[in-house]
Amino acid sequence: MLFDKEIIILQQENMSSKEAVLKALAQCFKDEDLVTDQFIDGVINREQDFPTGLIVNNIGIAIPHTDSDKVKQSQIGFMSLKEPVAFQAMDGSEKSVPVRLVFMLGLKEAHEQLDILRKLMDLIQKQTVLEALLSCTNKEDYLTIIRTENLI
Amino acid sequence: MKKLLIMCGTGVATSTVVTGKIKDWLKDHGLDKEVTLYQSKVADEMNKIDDYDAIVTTTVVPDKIKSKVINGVPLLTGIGADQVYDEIKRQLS
Repeated sequence: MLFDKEIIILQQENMSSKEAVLKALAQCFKDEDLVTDQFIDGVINREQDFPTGLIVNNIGIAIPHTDSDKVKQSQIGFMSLKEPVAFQAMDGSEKSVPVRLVFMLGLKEAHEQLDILRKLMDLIQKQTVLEALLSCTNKEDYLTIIRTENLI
Repeated sequence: MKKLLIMCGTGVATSTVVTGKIKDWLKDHGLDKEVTLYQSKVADEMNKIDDYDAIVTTTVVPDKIKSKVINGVPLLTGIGADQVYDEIKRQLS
């Protein structure tokens, strides 16, 4: 359900900033009519005020999202980056996180998605899975990883 | 009954995960009957933080309340999670 639109962008290059990353990924949500017109700006503004960069075993991950009133249908999109893009750390330390993996969360109702969100958070704690995601070059491989981790 | 608040930027994603983890932890430690969990977003709680016995956040908070909150990001990444639980326990007791 949360991955059925296959918003998957792999080994993206030439992203000048985190805003460019967020815009490109959020646009995919818009193209699939999963979100309202406010979603793209909502995600960018939210990332500015409440950053979502995490560093796990030296791999930078971001989980951008925004308020659920900008989401029509829940979905999780993914982008991997060939070169890291600087995001701010979620913990408020104002540290810069070199992000290479982005999971964009479009969540209509948070509480129903707890199970998937927890699995996603468990996933980012696994070094081997992160490395597989980093090296993944086609959608089928990505979906296999997601499936192996019981997200679908 | 102790009150524990978990808050993130939107109250949608990360606080949901952290709330779930803390709920399990409370249960495992037999504290679930003694603590009520609240989940919210930073903007809604700014003036109410003194109503809670402990506050865990997964996001940036304004400087004036910084000293009163526990950084819950380790519960998402798994790195340093035990220290977070210890701190929650300390503040609730």
